[in-house]
Amino acid sequence: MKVSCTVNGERVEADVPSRLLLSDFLRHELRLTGTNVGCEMGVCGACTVIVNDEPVRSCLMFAVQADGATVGTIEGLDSDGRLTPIQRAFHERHALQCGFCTPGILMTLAALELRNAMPKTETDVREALSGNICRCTGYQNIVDAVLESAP
Amino acid sequence: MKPAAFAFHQAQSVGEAVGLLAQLGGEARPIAGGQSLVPAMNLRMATPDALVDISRIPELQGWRKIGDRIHIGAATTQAALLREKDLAEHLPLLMAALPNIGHVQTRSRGTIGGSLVHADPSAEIALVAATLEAELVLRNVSGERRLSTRDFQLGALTTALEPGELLVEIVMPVADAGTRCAFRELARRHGDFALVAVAAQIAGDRLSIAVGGLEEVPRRCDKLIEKLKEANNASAAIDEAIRIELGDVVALSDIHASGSYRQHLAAVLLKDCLLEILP
Repeated sequence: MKVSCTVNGERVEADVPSRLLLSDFLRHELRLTGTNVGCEMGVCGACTVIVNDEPVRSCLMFAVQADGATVGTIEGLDSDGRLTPIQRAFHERHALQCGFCTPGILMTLAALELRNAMPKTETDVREALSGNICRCTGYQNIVDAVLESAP
Repeated sequence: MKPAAFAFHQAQSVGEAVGLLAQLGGEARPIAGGQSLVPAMNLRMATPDALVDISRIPELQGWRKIGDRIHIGAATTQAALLREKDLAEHLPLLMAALPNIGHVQTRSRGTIGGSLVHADPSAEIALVAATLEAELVLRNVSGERRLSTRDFQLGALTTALEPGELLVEIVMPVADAGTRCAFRELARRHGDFALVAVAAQIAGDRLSIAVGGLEEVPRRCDKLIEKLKEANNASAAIDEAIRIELGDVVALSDIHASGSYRQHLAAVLLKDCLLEILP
């Protein structure tokens, strides 16, 4: 099936099987391997991308369902090669260890930022990121980084 | 690729969607947000041979107030509902329950109708629909029928929907001014399905309260309501009313929680909600 969408500002057209997940389309067809795939059943949040300004699990969506959509992945988070304030805070606060969950977390936060819905308290940060599982950090440094980068 | 192969159809109208479902036969499934269906497909627990995407049908989006009822399009996402500030005035109980459903990423695509047709015993929307005695509008090629939640949700993951039929609208009564409501749930982790959840609302002297996660379908607590109505002092009768309500319950038991723990939780959450809303 034909799918035509915008990924990180670039127009993309492809002919894909209907059963191709958006996550696999991004990784295998477009070679955007920054979007990680963990559980592939919507639990871990590693594959979070932004579709039409909303954070979604790309493993729970078929590529054909993104037809006409605007998709953002970690590769497009910053266009001039410099880290965003949140990325910088993650770096400075040591908010990642293996880094597998990090793109998903950053895309979730970027989506919240688009709607001016960035969490401002520790409770809100933990709730906002409850759909992103990290098995290394114990979350504390992630929470600190988000709070530090809050305007 | 994780899911088995299927044919994909993008429906532009309800008429087209039910036409496609009729034509494609029993192994075709409608898909809206896919937040329950796609995991099942990725695990190959569900292998539909065709999907009819209803997420872009304008008639199935948004809500409107008609008289003293709110009509919600079945494919309206949970995130879209949460952004509707006016809805908090009309359906405070639904709005209190919505943030407990999954996570921000699943609410972006998960829909109100999808949750109802999936019919998980712990689902928050099914619990609210049962509490408010919502009416569900189902459509197929030959027409429309309306079911109460009691007649719709028949068991765990089982509804009265027939092949070729589509849930198109959810109708809930508007909350009167001065309505008080409470929603409580306990889940192992934030965003998980609740082990047990309770939804309660009181409008004037009319109390509605139901428990989810305890049995296969949400339990409307009619005996409890009756007992409290008879009591001179409702607050003093809460413990006894809960005991009577839960007396004959055979609670679900699984790897997440035993039946006796669920029963205990139900009593605790029922009491919390009643204390919060009773005058």
